[in-house]
Amino acid sequence: MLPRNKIIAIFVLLFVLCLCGISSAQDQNAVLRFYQKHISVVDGNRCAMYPSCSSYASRAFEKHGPIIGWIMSCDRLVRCGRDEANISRMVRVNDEEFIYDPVGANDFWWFEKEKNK
Amino acid sequence: MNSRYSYILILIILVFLSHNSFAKEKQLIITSGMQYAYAQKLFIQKDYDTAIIEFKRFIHFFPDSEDLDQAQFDIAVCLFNLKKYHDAARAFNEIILAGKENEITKKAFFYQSDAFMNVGNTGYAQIVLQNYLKLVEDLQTKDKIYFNLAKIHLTEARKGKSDSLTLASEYLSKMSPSGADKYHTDQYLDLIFKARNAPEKNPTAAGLFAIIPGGGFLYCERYHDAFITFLLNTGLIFSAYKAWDNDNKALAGVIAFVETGFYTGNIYGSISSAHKYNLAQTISILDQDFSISSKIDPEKRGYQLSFNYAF
Repeated sequence: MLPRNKIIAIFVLLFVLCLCGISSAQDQNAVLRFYQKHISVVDGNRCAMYPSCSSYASRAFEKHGPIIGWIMSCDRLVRCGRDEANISRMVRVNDEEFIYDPVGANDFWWFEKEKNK
Repeated sequence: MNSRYSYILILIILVFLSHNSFAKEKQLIITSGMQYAYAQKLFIQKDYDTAIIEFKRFIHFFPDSEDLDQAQFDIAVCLFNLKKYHDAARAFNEIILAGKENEITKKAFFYQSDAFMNVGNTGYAQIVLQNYLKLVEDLQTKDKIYFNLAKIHLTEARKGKSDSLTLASEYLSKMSPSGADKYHTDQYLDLIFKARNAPEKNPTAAGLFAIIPGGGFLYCERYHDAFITFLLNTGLIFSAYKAWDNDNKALAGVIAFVETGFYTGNIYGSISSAHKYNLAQTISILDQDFSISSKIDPEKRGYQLSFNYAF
């Protein structure tokens, strides 16, 4: 029998590998894909932002890779649906209003400069 | 028998003659003017798809007509009005490349720039006008180009592009006194001054404040986010510490990993929030004081710029 700590450590390793996009051949990260396919469907779309936090994370990973993608996703989870409404515009999607906060609205201050170099 | 055949023959001749005379009555010769007028009628009725076909028919059958250039321009305008901006830009480019010095070419430059603006390609929109600037001599057109370039930079300023406000004011300052009067540049320069002097948040300071979780958000006036960030980060740090203390090192590792993301996210979010705050200030000033819009008059095929100023 493996000790409890080792089992948890294996899970940690798997978790990190998933987050780091081992499934990079496909567009989305495995964890995000699993969340969107199996959890969000049951849980319902309760995200106040557009794109939703999972779509945002997926886009951030795709655009900036695992490290910045992970940081931006955590930042988005904290900001979701509160003070963002004061500075971002609203969009109507399927007759519902959402706060528009794409990845481009959070990386414009450094990514455009990098691109133009 | 012979008389029967002759009756049939007479009948056939009569039928043929009547058919021929009927055909003659329906004959119509379409002149270049008629064809162009019909295409224009469709254009005015905003049936742009059909208008394009009729303008093309006009070009095909009357290639020597003096309205040929106008018809080519009208096709491009139809594409523009159909929001097929890439096709429209290509069609205007053909008119520009023909290099004729007339009013149509002049309009084509502005339309092409506007087509690029509509697809969000502000870079090309600028290049078109900057190229045109090198070709023109007359002051009025130059003023119009400067004004349009300033307008493009004001649009870019709304997207957070640095130096856009400076460039916009530079172009406005280049205009002649008569052009400045016509386009009310003093009001625009005042607007740019206001936008530049709007209350700002320093992104570096926001990042430094974020060393204490939530501090950066607090600095950026995002009080709810600051509170949640503080709770989440302190909670995760405490949990990691407790897990480690209880010799549950793997769990402490998981929590520490997650916490690292949220902590760095807090710093990133704080810096980003400062930039977003500054951008929101610029946009709100541009929105409150002026709304600049370009309009196309489909009947006159004219290009018009309008602005509203809130007193």
